[in-house]
Amino acid sequence: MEERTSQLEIKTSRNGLTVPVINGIHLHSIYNPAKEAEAFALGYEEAVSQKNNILILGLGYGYHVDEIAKLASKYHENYNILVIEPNKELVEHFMAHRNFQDKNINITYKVNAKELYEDISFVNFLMQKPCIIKHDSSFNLDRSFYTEFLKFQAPNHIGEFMDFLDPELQTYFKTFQGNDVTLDHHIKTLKAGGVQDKMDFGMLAFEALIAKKDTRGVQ
Amino acid sequence: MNKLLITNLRSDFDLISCAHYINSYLQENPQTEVSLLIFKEQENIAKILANVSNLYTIDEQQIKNIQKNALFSDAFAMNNFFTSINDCLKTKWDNVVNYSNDEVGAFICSMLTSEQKHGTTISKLGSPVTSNAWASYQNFACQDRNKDVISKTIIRHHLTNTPYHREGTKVKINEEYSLIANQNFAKIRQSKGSDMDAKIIGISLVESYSNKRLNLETLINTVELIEESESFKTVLLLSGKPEEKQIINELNKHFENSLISINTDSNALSAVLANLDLFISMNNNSLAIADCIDTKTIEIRDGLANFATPATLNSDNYVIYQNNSSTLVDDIAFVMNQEFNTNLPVSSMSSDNKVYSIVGDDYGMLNTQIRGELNIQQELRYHIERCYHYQLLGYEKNNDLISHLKKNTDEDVLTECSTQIKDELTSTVKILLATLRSLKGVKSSKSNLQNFINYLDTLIARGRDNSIVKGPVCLFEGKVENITTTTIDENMKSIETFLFELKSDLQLLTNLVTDLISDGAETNSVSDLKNAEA
Repeated sequence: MEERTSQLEIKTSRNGLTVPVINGIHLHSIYNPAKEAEAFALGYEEAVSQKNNILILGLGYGYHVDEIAKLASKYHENYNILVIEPNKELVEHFMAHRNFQDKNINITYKVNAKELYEDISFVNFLMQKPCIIKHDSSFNLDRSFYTEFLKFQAPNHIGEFMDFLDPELQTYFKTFQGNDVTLDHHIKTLKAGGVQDKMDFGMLAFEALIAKKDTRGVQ
Repeated sequence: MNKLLITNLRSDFDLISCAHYINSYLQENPQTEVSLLIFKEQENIAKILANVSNLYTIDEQQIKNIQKNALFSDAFAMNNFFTSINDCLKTKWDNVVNYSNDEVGAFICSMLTSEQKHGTTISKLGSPVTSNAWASYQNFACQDRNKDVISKTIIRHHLTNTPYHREGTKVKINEEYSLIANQNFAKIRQSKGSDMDAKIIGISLVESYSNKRLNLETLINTVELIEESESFKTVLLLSGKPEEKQIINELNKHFENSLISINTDSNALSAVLANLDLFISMNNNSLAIADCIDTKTIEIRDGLANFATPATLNSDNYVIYQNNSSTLVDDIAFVMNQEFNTNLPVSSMSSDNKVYSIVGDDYGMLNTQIRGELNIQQELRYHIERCYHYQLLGYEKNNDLISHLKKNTDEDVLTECSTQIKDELTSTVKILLATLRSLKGVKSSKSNLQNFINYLDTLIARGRDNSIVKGPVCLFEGKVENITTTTIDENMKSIETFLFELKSDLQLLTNLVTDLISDGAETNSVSDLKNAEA
């Protein structure tokens, strides 16, 4: 796993709040982080009012997250906020010294975007089509991580996603020599007359489901 | 206890109509535990079906959303799919039925462990395997037909040789809702103030499967018709969609808030429908549920769906194919007069719409036109084709029907119909005979194989046309697809047998047509077939 090298400093703002500084960059206002966070959240009020799942890119020291949570609680009985942060040291410091009181907020720390998309709970969260909010100073600091996250394309060769398959599917695919084929290719092979066992039928059922048009209403 | 799994992975209508099948099956095989494999989105509908012990669901939308999004790994979609069907795979079934006859279901059924599989499954060679002639008929002959001459629900009963039982509990009726509905409807019946209780006519504002609605003018005219009679009272049924609320507001404005409307969810719907004397609706889930609880219905179909298969199964129901909405109220009045022996005003004896009554005969249910311009050739063809298809599937010829058609149809009309059928028959017989000849050629030299294959393809392609020979040719195709032998000689032998069976099947149609025309003259195709035998 790739470890990032960053210099974390902790400063105190003029109004006494903690401000992390990474590689010389202040993640919040050195004067009044709370006021800055309030103004930041207001800019997203309309978006937050429409969605109860919120994805925040960048933890900072959580002031902006708290303000977004306040807004979310104003509009939704149930809401979930997930914060992505690639800086492990920052996450650990935050959790040890401040942390969120609101149980609807969770932080996910991953070194790269691929790891994020390999997490089924994260995928399920994204499936809810959350409102995405970018914390600019965090984003700029880890631009390559967030850009990779936003432009990510899942691998489509079986060998590349083998580890995420359930055991029975792993066993099934391991019986094929050379997993360096795409799922489409594998299914084409089955369709060309390569059906051997029930799992092959299962793969063809899966493919038929994906290709199926929505005929729910048709009599 | 026998374990039956029914896979139902197509439409809401298929799922609801499956209630008829479950009821019939359980009456024939009471010691059976019924399980359903369905899509998660249809879980609420499946929950109203009676006598279902287990529901297995596939979250189609979730799986598709994961798979289609480039961000997410296909691994998650596959995990989701295989987890969904895992319990079905682990169970040892006595019977599995691919009820909805869909591709996903066919592959899944092929994976399952079962004493018997009914309907269509897939062979290891990738071709469809059908469990009996009815399964072949469903899978091959019913494709791309606007109208099924035999109801799909009845065909599906035959997959397991199950006779249709009209009586029985098919959908659940919530006791609490039922009690409330009974009390409220008793009051509604008395609200007209006449000596006799009024009959309650439900009108659904819910859109059809093809997103069509009864228009406001039709609704106003129909409500007026019903409310002006002392014998009837209207109840409007809604599902809660905003468009329906808008319509109800318009209606209330017109009728000065005197109308009764009921907003029902799927749990309460059956309790409400059970209290109606007649239910008027576009073809939708409400209509299909009404049919399951044997509430009489008038099904309104869009005229563009000309002659499409009715959504209801039971006899004594009606279908109106709507071409002109302004005269629809007359058709409804006509049907109500017929049904309740009343004298509701009908302004014209003719109609731009076509009204059908569903009636029963020795074969089962059929549709017979009772109002509107008659396309005699279309109607004749429907009855002949239906009779023929039942014969193909092992039933006796319906001599009463043939006699009735002969007696009540002009000779010219019968001649025109038989000429048309003979033309279609003759061209197919010619291809069949050429195929048989080319098969003989293969026996003398394998170099003639390609010639035979070309003729066979041409013959099978006749099943794609919407001609009267579609049924037998498609059944032939089904038999060919079911061939399990692996050598060319064995395959050719099987195909030869099936070609002669097709010849016999076409002979049945020839005989039917001969019976229809008064002089009983032998047709060209008959003599062609006889020559071939010689």
